[in-house]
Amino acid sequence: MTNKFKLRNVNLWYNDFQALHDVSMDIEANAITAFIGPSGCGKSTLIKSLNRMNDLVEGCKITGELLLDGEDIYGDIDINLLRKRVGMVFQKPNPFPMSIYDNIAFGPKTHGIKSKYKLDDIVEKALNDAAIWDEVKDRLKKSALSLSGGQQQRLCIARALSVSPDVLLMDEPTSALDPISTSKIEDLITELKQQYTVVIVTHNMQQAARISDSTAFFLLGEMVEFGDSEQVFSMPKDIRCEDYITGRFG
Amino acid sequence: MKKQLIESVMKYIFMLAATVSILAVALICAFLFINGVPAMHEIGFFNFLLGRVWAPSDTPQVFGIFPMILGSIYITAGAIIVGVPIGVLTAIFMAKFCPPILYRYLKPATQLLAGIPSIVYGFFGLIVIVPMVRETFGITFGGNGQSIFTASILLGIMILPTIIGVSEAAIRAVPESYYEAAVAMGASHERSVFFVVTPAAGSGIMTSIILGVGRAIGETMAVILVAGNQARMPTGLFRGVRTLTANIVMEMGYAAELHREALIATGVVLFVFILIINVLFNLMKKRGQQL
Amino acid sequence: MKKSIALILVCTLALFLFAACDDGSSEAPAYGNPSQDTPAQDTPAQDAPAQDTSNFDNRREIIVVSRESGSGTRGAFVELTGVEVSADGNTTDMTSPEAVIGNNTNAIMTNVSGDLYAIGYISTGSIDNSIKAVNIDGVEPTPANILAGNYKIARPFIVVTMDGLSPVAQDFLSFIMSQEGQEIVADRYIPVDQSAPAFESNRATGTVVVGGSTSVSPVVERLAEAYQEINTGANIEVHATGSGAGITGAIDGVVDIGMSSRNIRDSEMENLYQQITIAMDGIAVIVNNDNPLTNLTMEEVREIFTGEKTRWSDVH
Repeated sequence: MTNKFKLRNVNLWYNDFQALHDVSMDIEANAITAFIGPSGCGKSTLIKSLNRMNDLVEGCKITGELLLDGEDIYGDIDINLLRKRVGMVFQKPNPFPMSIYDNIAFGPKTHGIKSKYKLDDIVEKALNDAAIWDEVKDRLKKSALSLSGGQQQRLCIARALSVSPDVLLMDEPTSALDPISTSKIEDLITELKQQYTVVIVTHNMQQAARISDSTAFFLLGEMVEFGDSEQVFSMPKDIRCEDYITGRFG
Repeated sequence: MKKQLIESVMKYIFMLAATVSILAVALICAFLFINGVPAMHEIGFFNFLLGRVWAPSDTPQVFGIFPMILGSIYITAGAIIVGVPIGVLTAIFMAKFCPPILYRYLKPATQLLAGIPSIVYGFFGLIVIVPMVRETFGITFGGNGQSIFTASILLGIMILPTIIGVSEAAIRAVPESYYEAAVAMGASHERSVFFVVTPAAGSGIMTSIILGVGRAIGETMAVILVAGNQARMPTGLFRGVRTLTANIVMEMGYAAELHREALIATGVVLFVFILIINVLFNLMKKRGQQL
Repeated sequence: MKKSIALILVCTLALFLFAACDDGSSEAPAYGNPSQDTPAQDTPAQDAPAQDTSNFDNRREIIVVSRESGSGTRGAFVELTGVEVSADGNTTDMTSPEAVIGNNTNAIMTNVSGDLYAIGYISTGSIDNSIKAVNIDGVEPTPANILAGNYKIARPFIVVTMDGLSPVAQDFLSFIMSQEGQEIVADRYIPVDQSAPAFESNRATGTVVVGGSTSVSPVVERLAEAYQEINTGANIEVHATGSGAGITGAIDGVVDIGMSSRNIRDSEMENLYQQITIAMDGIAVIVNNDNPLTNLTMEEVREIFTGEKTRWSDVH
């Protein structure tokens, strides 16, 4: 049970507003860790710190230690390589307005792969890993925007996988999708943890309970409870966590 | 009851305003076609459109506007070659790379370019660009500086505000999620902008180019001063040409009877060109909306 | 680090571009003459400005500058010089297809004064110090020579009207043909009536619209100015729209008096009431001030303007 991420005393400010208060946690490799909590609690902020997407926000300041495999991700590190290792899938599916093939090939091309054969292989593998290959293999050159919402999200997952990351960050990946697509993607995520470390932010507690190994509960920028999902959902230690899970507030 | 009356009156006033606009267009069309088409018929459609000699002062008069059609096409193409790369790259810079302090001056500057009257551009071209071209290229290629080359440069500058303005808006309109997705995959800022955001703005950029073409093809005063106005088939990049618009302006004052009608017929040809451009523009817009 | 290198490279490129621009301007300045204390001239023959012919390269091609197709000046020029040829009732204007076209007198002068190797033609009345007029067959384009018939490239200034002119328009016409009027004409052109009577106005009031040739309008404007000082109740509007427009304007009633710098065609005269020649004008062949050329034969003029001779070295 190795730790992929190690967070110690992480604080984050958007200008004067403090969004994260002293967060410390270990994220296990090859497991699914869920972040849950009400709106504005900081879970999306934290997950975006793991691949430094917060750098795009003006006035964002972060202190503390964030280590990926022991390396400080806010230190002297190639940020593009970091994002290659730590992939991200967004809430609203956002395939590029290109063909399905080009969507998947974008990542590998960015990181130097030019050979058409290699790219073909990578595209096929990624689409397979995302359980969408059979549906699109005959129309790789068609626009990605012609796919349904659920398919587009699986395409985005395939796109994230195309660069062979270690970690997959998923920010509410199914909240914009219908139940059938949601369940397909949940199955997919469960498969993926064999190869990847998955961190998933979700508003849907049942989803967290269904698929995650560990769950962290956030409230107002503070990590209130963190532990095995089974334990967090059946016998939460903190009263605030219990209130949230039982629906007394949300 | 009174309110009902006011509503009706206003409705008819708006209808009247709309009718006036449509009437204006219809009248112009009618004038052009009623005067121009019989002339084309009398001269002979193919003699007119494909004839290579324009000699209205000879006896018998010869009216072939093919040289002018080519002149307009060449100069417009040249303007696109000059204006589009500079314009689109400027738009990308302004939308995605420009520091805010610089932007505050750059944006009004590009808008100012649009406000300069054509005749001023023409003078600028005649007094600055023409001698420069003459001195640099005149010895090797001949000519006096008034040429397709010069007109292309000048027109390229003139269509820059159109291309920059519309392209920049199109690039800014691209959803931020595309950019984020690209960056999240480890692509650098430059790569994300050039390979994801800009192609996504493709139809908007095409629209700006078509608008630029429309402006270039209709440009008259600036072109007359720098293009040489030779009414003959184009003979080289550094030699002059005459455009359809220049042809009308230069000879309308003197023209009588068939000569004048031939010039109106030239207007018809121009009109058809603009129609084609407008149709293309609408097609582009539709495609953009579909995506 | 990479960004700084890229920035330096781009700046260097830009510098190269600008360096290439400001080159070879050791030639005479583009427009006008550098050091000119030009006193007012009584006769149109030009004051010889300070020349610098040392930069003139004979191997360069002749840049022919011409007026546009319907211009009266061009019509007269090509007819008088033989650039226009007639055969079996057909006339063809053989002006070189490479000739740069300017659509008024100013455009021609700007082109010629700005280009060392250009040659064009304008009315002798428009000559000023920005360009140089050459002699034709050894004859200088002076009024005396034009009137005497020695200078061969000359044309009449004609006014045309319909019947039923207003009293004030009639008065203006009388002024033009009077002694005072012809004196004004003589300032730059050649008066047709040396012994015109003194002018007496009929004091009519009203507006007279005059339109037509750009070559004729300068002198008509001066005539109008002088006339309006004598007859303060009259208002003369002069519009320079071209000989063709002037004639059709008179026929259509758009103008009261039409001006033409070419002979009136029989077909046009059928619709008009009268034509009056008010002056004679020469057409001067002009070159850049720093061009060493001073004389051309009529044959050479024709050869240059038809494009038969293409380089300055071909001209003696």
